[in-house]
Amino acid sequence: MATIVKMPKLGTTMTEGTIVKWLKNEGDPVKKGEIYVEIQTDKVNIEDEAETSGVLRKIMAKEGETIKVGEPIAIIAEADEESPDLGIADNISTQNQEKSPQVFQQEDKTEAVKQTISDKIKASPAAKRVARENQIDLSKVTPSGPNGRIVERDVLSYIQEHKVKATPVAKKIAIERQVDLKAIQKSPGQRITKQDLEDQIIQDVDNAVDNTIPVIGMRKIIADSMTYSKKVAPHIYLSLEVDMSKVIDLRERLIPLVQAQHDVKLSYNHILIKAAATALRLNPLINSSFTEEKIILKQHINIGLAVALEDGLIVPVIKDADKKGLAFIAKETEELIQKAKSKKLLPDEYHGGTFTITNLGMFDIESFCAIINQPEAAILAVGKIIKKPVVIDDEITIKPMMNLTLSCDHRVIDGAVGAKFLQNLKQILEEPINMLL
Amino acid sequence: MTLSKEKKLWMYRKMHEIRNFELEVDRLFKANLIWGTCHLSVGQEASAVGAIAALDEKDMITSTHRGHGHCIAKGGKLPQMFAELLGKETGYCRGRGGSMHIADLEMGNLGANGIVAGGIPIATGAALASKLKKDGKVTLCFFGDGATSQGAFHEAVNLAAVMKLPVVYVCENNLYGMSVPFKKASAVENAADRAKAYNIPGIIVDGNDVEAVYNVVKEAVERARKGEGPSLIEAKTYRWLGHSKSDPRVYRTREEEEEWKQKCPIKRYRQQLISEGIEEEVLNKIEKEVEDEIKKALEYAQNSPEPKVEEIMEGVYA
Amino acid sequence: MAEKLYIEALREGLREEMLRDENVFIIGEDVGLYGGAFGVTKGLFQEFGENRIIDTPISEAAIAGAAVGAALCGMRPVAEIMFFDFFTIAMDQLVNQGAKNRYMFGGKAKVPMVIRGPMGCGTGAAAQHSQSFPAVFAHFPGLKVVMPSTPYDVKGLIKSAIRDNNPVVFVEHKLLYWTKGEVPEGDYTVPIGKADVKRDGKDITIVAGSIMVRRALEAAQKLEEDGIDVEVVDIRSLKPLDLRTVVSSVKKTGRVLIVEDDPISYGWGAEIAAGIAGSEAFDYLDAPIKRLAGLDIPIPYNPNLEKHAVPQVPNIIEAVREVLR
Repeated sequence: MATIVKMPKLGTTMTEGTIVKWLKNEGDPVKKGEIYVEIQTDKVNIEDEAETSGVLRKIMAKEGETIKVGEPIAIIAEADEESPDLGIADNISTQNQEKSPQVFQQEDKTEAVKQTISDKIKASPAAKRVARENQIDLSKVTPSGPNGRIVERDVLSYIQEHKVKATPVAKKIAIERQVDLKAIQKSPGQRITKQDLEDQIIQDVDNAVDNTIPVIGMRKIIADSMTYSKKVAPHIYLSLEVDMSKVIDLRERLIPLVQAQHDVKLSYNHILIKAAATALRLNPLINSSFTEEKIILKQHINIGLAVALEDGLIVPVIKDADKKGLAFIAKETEELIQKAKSKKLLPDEYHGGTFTITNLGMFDIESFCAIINQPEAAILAVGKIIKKPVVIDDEITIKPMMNLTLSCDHRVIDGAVGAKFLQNLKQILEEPINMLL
Repeated sequence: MTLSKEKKLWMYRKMHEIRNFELEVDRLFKANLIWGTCHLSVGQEASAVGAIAALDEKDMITSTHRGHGHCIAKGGKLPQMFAELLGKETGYCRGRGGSMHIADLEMGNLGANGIVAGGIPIATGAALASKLKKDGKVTLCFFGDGATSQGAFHEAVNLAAVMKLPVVYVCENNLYGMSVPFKKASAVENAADRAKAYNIPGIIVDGNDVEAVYNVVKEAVERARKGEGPSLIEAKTYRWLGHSKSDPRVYRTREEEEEWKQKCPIKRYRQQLISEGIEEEVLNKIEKEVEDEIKKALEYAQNSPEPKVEEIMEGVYA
Repeated sequence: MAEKLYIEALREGLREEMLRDENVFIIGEDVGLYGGAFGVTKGLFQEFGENRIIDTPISEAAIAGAAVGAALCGMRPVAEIMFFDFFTIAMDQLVNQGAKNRYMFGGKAKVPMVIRGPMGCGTGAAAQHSQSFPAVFAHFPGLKVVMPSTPYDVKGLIKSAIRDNNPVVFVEHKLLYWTKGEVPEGDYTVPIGKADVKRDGKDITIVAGSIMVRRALEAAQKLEEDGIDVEVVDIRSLKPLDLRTVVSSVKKTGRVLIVEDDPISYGWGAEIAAGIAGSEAFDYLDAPIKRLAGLDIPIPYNPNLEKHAVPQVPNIIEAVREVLR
């Protein structure tokens, strides 16, 4: 029997996926469980396994094509099987081909992302038409209709407010030099002058040689979520320095043991994850989430570790880190980092974090302030371990010191609460035996 | 057939109930207390009471738009009837039916009907059920002369005749449809003549003589109960107050109306009973009791609650 | 121009057509001396005699069937059905015969007949004498369906219906009979299949038919006091349906309320709503299309319940405000 393979849902937030690569060609046999296609979700690339054995009779979604979850992507059937489904597939596939030029056109205008957002905005057909005719981005329009619906008058008043006003000379130059007046930012009510126009022309010339990177995919997600976090969460920053002598000592002794057990090299990050998890258990407010109605104290301690990628960053999550041994944390963390770097993290592996650690020590950064990874309440920024002169018992001695900066969401965490956590963490790191408690 | 004194007095009482009920309704209508319209059976009391007197209590009837009398004779409760006409929640149909749709299934009244001849197939179906269930019930089907021109009449009577169903068709011929005289609506002189087409007995009776009606219906009911099939009885009578509450009665003369009032079924029966030796006081007492009963029933209806608008959707589906 | 009652205008249209064409006759229950249950044919019996104003037995199927047969033979019968509810009794002759004859006879037959009667509640006649269901007939290919709302339209449309070469279901409303409006003397027609803008406005379109046009106009007048400018489109014919007039009105106002007398489920308003949604007017809609119609119940007897069974003026006003919210 022919099986129509549909775009799988590979994560809770996934609504569509892009075919990255077909690992089989039409006519190739596939076995159940065999990896035959690579799909990109909103965050990662996932290799999908065949649900059934047979021959890949038809590829319905081309590489690079974005398909909604549940829409057909291929047909697997017996080599010589005649099936009405294959006929249907022809239809569907033509439809997709017909659609695809439009999709590409939208991408050319770099409007693809905007388009999907607009689709989710509630607007009356009339509002959508007026917005389309005037090239208005509906996400910028404030709705006044029932149930948060944008109605025609909202778009019209938006247009009125953002009407381009220019002096006659500026208008004349704009026509001569083919400058789009809308591209010139002016505060409402102010007229575009000849000077503005000349500045714009110079800027356009500069821009002409610059490369651009479209803000889509992971870049877009990072941009949106960082902006969102800074917008909703008032950050406070607490810093202290930790004497890492005993951690260094401990690590030296544990490296061969962990190596033998799991074939991974124990890093400071692994120890930090364990130490932070231990401190979080003592400070439940740090391991929480703020909502308008209530603060949710999370039952599980799931620690995210920011991993830098070529084109962004991702935060794989070590679940229940407080309950796991150091060796196991080391093994799991390394596996997750490898997957993250090859974009093969599964959605479950980067969702559900309750606290994040970000370490820029390897770039020689001594201290920095991080932005909280919403909906978490705090993030720990870790600096490089540096030997420094410190005063102990009125004596100057040299110690390996490391800066920790905790960014706290002040809606949940007051200064003293954050400070207490940080102090606990310092105590744990300076006396690592505390991790056993 | 000899009737017991008790039965005779019951018939006298029921005719009075119908007459008084209808006249009270007429009064209420004129006082603008009754909505819609009403088809009153003043003058036709004998055909309703005489026919139903020939039934056993378990037997069933179907009625017509002029159905108050049938309902009362079949044991309908006056308070619930008044309440229905006043559109009250306590009425037979919770104020949803009104005059033309009163049914009392407990008493074997399968309902009045707003469609001329609408009840004839229903009565036939009820009789079919009795035949299948062998429950020994007979259904008495009332309709007017106008209904005999409906296709439904012919289809239903034919079916009952072929299947020998236990049903008795009683045509109350009050001479007019709404305005068109029976003689202009029917090619045969009598509605009973139509029985020939279905090879069933067709009997004409004086519809204003309650005992005469009783006797012919009794015979037809017994025939039906024995499994010998339906009969068509035509009771010739007259509606004193016209078709409905909006009938100017241009199609008949006042002289004709007066002539029929002289044949008042109640007055006639009263004289008959007195001549048979029943004391006038007994009859007077019945009349007085009926008057009181009507008064109380109306009071009940008037004090009853209106149906609730929130419950307007109720009763569409079982 | 003289003000006349709807019932008078209808009678005048019938009378003028009977004078114009001797093939026209009226057949129905109590249409003769009595003048019809509602008095539509009053006086015509005296003028035209019993051969052209024909009283029948109470036989709706026979009335409809006789009209179909006479029409097939070149007459132009106008059949009166006493209450719209009784159209169901005539259904077989109307739907299976009259509507289908021409097509199944290969386009060689004509059935130029009118079958007319009053629908609607508001008189306390309860479930079997009050229902409105004109849309039912619009569902049968071969039939035309019109439902005039004014004296002017009823006279013009009865003439068009009589002159039409197809069976036309002519839908009146009991409560319209005694409403007044201007009616010109003499001959004029109103085309079948053409809606009519009864009131110009810019804020919202109300599409209504029959009695609801009157109620919509009354609502519009009240809303005007609050500065709400309502356009009222009288759909007038259900079949053929004039969607063009509706669409151009909705393009202008961007908002639409459809008001019907029938029970809401599967009513003609759904047809209009679907038509708008599928038309060029879609891009001009600034609010969801709203329908206001009768409840899905048989008409109750009690006057208060009865009033709640179909839209009244305050319901229309409220619905307009909701759409404009």
